[in-house]
Amino acid sequence: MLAARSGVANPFRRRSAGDPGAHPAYTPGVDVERKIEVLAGAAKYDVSCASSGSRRAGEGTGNASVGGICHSWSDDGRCISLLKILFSNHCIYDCAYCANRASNPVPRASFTVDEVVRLTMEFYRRNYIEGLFLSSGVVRSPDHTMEELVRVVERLRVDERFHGYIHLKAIPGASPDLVRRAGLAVDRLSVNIELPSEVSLRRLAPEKSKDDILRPMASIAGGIVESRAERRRHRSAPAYAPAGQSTQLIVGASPEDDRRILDLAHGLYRKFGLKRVYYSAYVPVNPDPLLPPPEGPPDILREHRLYQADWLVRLYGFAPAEIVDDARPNLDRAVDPKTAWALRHPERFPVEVNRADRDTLLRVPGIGFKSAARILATRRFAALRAEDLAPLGIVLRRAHAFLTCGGRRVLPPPPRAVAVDDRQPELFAAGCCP
Amino acid sequence: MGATVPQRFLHDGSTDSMLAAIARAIASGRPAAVAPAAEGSLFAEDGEPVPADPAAADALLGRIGRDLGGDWVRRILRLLCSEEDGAEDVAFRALALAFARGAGVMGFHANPDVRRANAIDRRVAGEVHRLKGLLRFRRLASGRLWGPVEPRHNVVAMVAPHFGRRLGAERWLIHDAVRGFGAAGEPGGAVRPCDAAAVEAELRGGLDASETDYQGLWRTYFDAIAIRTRSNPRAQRRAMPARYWACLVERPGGPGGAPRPASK
Repeated sequence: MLAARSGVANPFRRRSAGDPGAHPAYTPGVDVERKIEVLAGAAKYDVSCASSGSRRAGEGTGNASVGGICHSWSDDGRCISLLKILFSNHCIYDCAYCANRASNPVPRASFTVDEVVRLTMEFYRRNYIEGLFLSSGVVRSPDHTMEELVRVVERLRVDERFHGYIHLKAIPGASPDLVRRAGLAVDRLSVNIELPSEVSLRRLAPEKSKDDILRPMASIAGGIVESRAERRRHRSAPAYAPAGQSTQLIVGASPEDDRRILDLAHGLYRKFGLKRVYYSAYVPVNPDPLLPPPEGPPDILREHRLYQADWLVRLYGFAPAEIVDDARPNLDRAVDPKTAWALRHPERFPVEVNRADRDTLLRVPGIGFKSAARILATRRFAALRAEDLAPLGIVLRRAHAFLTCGGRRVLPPPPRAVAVDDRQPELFAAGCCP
Repeated sequence: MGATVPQRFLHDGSTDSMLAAIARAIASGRPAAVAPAAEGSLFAEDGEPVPADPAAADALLGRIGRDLGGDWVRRILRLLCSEEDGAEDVAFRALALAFARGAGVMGFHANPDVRRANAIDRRVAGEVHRLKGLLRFRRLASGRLWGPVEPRHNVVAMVAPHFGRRLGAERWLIHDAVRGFGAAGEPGGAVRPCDAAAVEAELRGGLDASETDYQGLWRTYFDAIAIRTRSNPRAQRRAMPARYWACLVERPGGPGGAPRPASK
């Protein structure tokens, strides 16, 4: 409505530099809206939207906040931090699980480099986003596609002097030189491992090889290590993917059990120093005899349990074998993995909350990093009483059976207090996606 | 023997008056409380009014910085930005405790004063963080970016420096639509407060004509990025409470699900 009152004759006129109200005008082409619809829709199955782990600033526009910032939450409850789009959803590959497989009759579109750059800048200036997440179908060849992606990020960094967060997906099979150029321009560089085993990869994504995926992963890991060492010697040395690399795999499209998946993730963390492995519950988008029949909604509970187990391995010091083993190759769906572990180890409990050290406290279901830190801080002033526990953020609904306080058993909380007060700190303890 | 009635120090709502009242309460060495002066109060027994006193306020902040550290200065300022009832008294009690027992006393989570102070502090700091993401700028015809917000707490001054660093090449205005004032940023990163008249003057020219196009593109993106088979409105509302939706550009909750943004 105000647009009509603003008196601007040509809504898309490019202002001259001398215009007092000058700002980089962008003329969205008539089909940009349709491209967003197609290419954001095609990117939505990529899970990562993290914008953390990088501190970037400089003259021009934008900076990267080390803790990351969420800008919105979509109707599926997932955080929106980055403009997550494919450069193109044309693809020469025919991976069975992918909505953009060559044989799928879906609407196709490709952005131009200029369109992605302008959209990113204009969305960023309006504070819609923290930066850009750019991936693509494989157009013509891996190198051709990677070249286009690199042009986008280099234009943003050099021409636009953009210092916001950029997460780029390296195209499997792209040349190391292009991957290296990308690493020097972006905050996070990642390659999707797609499936939990080589057998499944051969079966469902026959054009992609294990080597095509692991080689760039190793090259990125090497670049990060090298860059960190160099920057320790010379602070002005260029940063290479300072927010590290991550990967994603689809859960439920192939028959691997949770033990296989967690072992793979653990191996990736150790070998390539990955920041995160993302798990994506298989969403049936293509009917294919190689895939499970499209029955019911995606298995979000399994995905959730894998994230919980991943958290325990990555941050809480659990070994994968403590969570899943030959006798129990899949995670318990009824209880979270920490509770399941505690129930299998009654000899370790109850833990006296006034004496236990940090590592012991962190193994108690319902106690996270924040509540453990609060317990230790409070003990410096006074012994804890049972009534102090819930306000410290301990989820008593889960923790009470595994704790004593002053030598006495801890009583479960009244039902109302659980739902409202006690879950929140645990959610924060688990951390959000940035 | 009856309990001692705490002496009440009454502030006028300004930060300088609150800090001066806290300084007086601490200096009194007696059981004390800090509270807002009731409008039209005529009775001396309500408490002792403490006018805004920048020198006393600065002296207290200086003492906090010296004795307890910069984190405490920021914590007290956050508590005083809270619009929750009794936040200024919570700030006073936490501060008195810290002067008596040291800066680390906020780790004494079993203490009710510490708990209340930490809880309010967390809510204010949480809103500051949230607004860094949820604030939406609109391009005005003048070229300035305009970001209306309706925060629960008086946090615009704490949000503004973030955008000063981030949008150093832009002219922008964060507009607290609840309290009427704002903060403006200029190229180079300078940030200045903006009163209601200055905000009104900035808005006179209306929105840039291209603004509705970008808003449309953003809404298209917002709708396209959600996986329909994983719809989870509960998680969406928990992360992004509906009270912030009015100033957004996107429409959470599906088509027609959100209240419309405050029109300008």
